[in-house]
Amino acid sequence: MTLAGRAAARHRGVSRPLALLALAALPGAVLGVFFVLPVSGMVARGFWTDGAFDPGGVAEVLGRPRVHRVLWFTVWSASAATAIAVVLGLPAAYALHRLEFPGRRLVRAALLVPFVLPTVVVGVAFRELLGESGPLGGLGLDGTPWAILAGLVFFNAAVVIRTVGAAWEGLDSRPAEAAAALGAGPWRVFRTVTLPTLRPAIASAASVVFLFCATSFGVVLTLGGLRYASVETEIYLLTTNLLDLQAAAALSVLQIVVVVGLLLVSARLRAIPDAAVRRLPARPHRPRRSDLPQLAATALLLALVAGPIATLVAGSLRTDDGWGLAHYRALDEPGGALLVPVTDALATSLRTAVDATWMALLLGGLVALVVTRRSRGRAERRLRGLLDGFFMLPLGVSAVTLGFGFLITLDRPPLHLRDSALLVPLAQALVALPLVVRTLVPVLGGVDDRLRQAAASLGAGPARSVLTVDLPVVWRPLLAAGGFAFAASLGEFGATAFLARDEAPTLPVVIFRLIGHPGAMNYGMALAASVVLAALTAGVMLLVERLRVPSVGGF
Amino acid sequence: MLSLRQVSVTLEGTEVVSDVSLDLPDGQVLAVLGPSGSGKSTLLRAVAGLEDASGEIGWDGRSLAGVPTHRRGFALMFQDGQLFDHLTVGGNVGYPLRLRRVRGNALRHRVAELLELVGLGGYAGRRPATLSGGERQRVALARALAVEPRLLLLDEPLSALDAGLRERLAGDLRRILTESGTTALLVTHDHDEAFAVADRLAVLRAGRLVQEGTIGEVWRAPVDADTALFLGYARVLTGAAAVRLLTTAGLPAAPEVALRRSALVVDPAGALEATVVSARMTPDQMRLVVDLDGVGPLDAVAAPDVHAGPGDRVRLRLEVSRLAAIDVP
Repeated sequence: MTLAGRAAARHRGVSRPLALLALAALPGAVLGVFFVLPVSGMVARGFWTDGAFDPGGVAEVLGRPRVHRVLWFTVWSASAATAIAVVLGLPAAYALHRLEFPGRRLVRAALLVPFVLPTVVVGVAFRELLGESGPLGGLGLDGTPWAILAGLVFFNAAVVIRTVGAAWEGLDSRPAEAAAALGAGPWRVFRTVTLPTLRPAIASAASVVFLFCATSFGVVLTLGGLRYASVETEIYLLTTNLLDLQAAAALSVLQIVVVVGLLLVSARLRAIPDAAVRRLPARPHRPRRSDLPQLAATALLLALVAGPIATLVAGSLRTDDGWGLAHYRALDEPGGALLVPVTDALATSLRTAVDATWMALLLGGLVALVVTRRSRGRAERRLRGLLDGFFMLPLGVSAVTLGFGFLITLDRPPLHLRDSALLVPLAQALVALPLVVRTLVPVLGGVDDRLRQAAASLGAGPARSVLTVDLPVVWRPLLAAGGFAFAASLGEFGATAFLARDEAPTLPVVIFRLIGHPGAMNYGMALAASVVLAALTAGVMLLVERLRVPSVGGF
Repeated sequence: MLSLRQVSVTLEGTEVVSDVSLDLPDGQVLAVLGPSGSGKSTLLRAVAGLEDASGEIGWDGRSLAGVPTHRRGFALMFQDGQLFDHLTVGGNVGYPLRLRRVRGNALRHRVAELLELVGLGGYAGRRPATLSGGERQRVALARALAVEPRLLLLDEPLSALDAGLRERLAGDLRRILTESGTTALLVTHDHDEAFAVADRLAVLRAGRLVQEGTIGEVWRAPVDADTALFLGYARVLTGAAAVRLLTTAGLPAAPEVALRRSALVVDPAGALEATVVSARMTPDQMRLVVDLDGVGPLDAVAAPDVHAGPGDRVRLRLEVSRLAAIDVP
């Protein structure tokens, strides 16, 4: 923060766009080297065959019937999952943000946990639940698109709850009261006053959820098998199994175009609250009889989240001779399928997450500061909008593309970074960056700019004004964003799988390896390690929830 | 007729409104006057059904307990209008009409009529965000009147406006309410606003009703010193000083007397003598602070052409209609 302030101070008098770019330089450079370079390297592979520019091949790939099927499945599954997540998430957002009942915060934290769980763990949990021997095996859902939909909703309902819930919580209650006093019944009030006000938040959440669903990797891979493929798993298949880089690149380009389009839509819809308007948010009230449907939807979501996790816990405790902690005890023993004991991997995970967290906070803090300063003139506002969108990119671009791009572009001088210990944390920080930015931006944007002007008129320089005006408001959200980034980094799998060195794997990577090895003990240990990871992330998210920052997890 | 019997409201463990009983006959405008934090807005919200209250709130002898806000037939107008920003001005005014299934031409005509009534003819297509504060309040009023409410509830309707506009709009509000024969309950902390708009006055302090009556009754006989000061009286004298002034005025003795700023007027034929402490010109009159012999510092006024500076001796006349004896010890 002070760094940013000092940079701003140094550039006083220089034109403001220049100062803006100076602040954005560090995050921009990092994103340029570790994101744009690998992704464009990967894409270039597709367009240049044997040194010659050959776009015809890309067009040919997009004409294949299998690609059409994959595209159709991606759009269909993402749309359906988004619709379900919104339909279930809206009543839950109301119940968890407008009602007051015991355990409300616990439920809120619990529903956010799936979002940071590694996809492999979720895949395993759903198979445990829906597989032939699972409690819900009788439904025959295993290997069907319904299982994939359930998995996608499991991950993303929290995004809807958080985004819409935060908007709902801060909603001025008086327009609704005015409507009631004019004779509108509760349903009318919701339809004609509340819903139009929430529409931007709902649309923003829906577009982000669609983005996550359409680029989801682990869920579709573990639950869809070979029968159902999305664009993302198809890229993986084409890259690693078929070595058809041109086809993979073609799909990556298509994906990036769609992602950029969706990000533009969601950025348009996202409104930073106007700090100059005083609102009177309603106090949460005790549940009434009329709130039962909303509470029921919340309970259903909770069951959807708790079900797979409960089967995971049960599976980890089931041993050859009944129940016990044998799988957990095996976690610190070397040998078997692994080079290092699982406890070492846990230590690596924690160390990596600490590094990833400070990097994400530093970069995200700078980005949030740049994006939320009040713009003078249209050009400056455009530039800020562009930067905001640019730093959101890692959210939607295929982790597979990114990971593979790392491998092919960062392995020769001057950027020979493949063996650097900072590579994995950096990749994780990039994945967590949008989460940090989206937590901080509403808070910083909500600071009335006139406060900063008042500070300046009283003689405070830019650095001083950041210290006295922004920091007191932002320290809690900063802490919350740190916790969120930490949890997300603990669970990151897509990019880490490509980059982690064999002798220093992270916990999700170890879980994935254990699943891949035959044997009941390996599988049991994978379940036990998943439980440890889930408990850890849940614990962190519970602490984050205690900070009471409404923007965490919202978009 | 609205009637409140022993109404109390408790918010987060604190009793904000205590034991208030009131009647408001049809066609009258009642102003509930009280300083900020006196519980007046809470009382209004309780009448609207937005807060739970104990005691009885009734309309025409029937209790409103358990009747939700939207079925009470009371329209509520907020301090800052609370227009729906996603609708046009016409959409806002037409909102309650559409709820009552008014459609098409009838809707358009009624909206135009209401906007005409509040002096905003032709504004139907505008966005609320493009209006000034005064215009927003007029739209809010038109929207509330569209309900043809049994009772109109006004929560500091003019407080957010600047002084000149407030005075003009208060006059308009009075005219509109009388013309439409609307029964209204107004809460405000501004006694000028209350006097300009209301027929009856209820003074609320710390959640309790301290005085109620027609404007004239309350104005002439404030129930205690605090009420007098709140109603715009400049000073309250007690004891011997009070008795001395009342005797001069030819009134029966009382423990306290409240004086308006214009109760003492500089007049060479006056019965009282004082020394001028300070003098200040206003466009209408000269405002003085004088040291009245045997009483102490008091406010007084003089015609603009009178010359009186600090230290001058002046004679003063007492305006009987500008002071009020307070009987309660």
